[in-house]
Amino acid sequence: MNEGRLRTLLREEPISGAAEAERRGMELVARAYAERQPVRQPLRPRRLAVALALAALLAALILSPAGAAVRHWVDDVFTAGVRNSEPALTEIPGGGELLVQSQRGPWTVQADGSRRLLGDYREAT
Amino acid sequence: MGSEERKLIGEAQRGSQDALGELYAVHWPRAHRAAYLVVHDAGAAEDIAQDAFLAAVDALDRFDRRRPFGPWLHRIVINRAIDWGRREALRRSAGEPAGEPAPAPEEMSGELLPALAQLPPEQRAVVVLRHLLEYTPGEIARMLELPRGTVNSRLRRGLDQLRGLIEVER
Repeated sequence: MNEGRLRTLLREEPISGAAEAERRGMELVARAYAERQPVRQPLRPRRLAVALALAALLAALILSPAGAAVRHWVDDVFTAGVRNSEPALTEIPGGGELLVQSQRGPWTVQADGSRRLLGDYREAT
Repeated sequence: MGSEERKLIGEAQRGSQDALGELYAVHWPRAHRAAYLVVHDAGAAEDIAQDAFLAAVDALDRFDRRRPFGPWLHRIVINRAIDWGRREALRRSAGEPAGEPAPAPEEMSGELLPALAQLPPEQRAVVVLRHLLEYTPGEIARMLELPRGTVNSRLRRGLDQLRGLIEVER
């Protein structure tokens, strides 16, 4: 006898009164099912905890001083990348001339804001 | 377990008699047969399968739909069948009259039941779980809370014994 033959014997062994037993069982189970009191499914604990945590965080952000600090921080983070207008040199407040060093070389800046590159020098005094 | 069964369990949890009926129709025949092949008594097998389904109805609202229904039901069936077999063996050894005792092996017809009856109920159970319900030895070990080695040795000894008995009778 091999395992295949054993499986066949196990599946095909006749059971006297099997159909009646199945019918009686169904009647009994259906009656028990009809009499049961369905339990209302509570909100799953994990989902409830996440919802409560989010609500608490939101309230803290809106109401508390610490929340205000967080709001400012968030504001700073999200506006840090905004480009401001280019600085423009229009007039030297104290008058006179300035000598300014840049990567391209030294510049002279006049009191009215006009400027001139002196040449390809590394530094100037 | 397929999505169809998960859907049926969900519908049954929400009160659908039809869904419960479908679950019953799918699982009763194998549960009943498994019980019968362990206890060899049609009446006792019917009681055991009914008890398992009543336990399922009782636990329906708490049942986790992500878990497969069949193994959960079969675990109840097989454990109750083993208990019944042990009680029956104790009654016989104590000389107590049982209500309607299962027939002795020599009174059984066919070749399978007399051979199975030579095995203790625990050994019949693993043979039925493996070769009728097609669980792996690891699944059987978890289901019966036994070491896997015990399941393997029960299976091997059971098969060797059945092989000898059924071949001799053929």
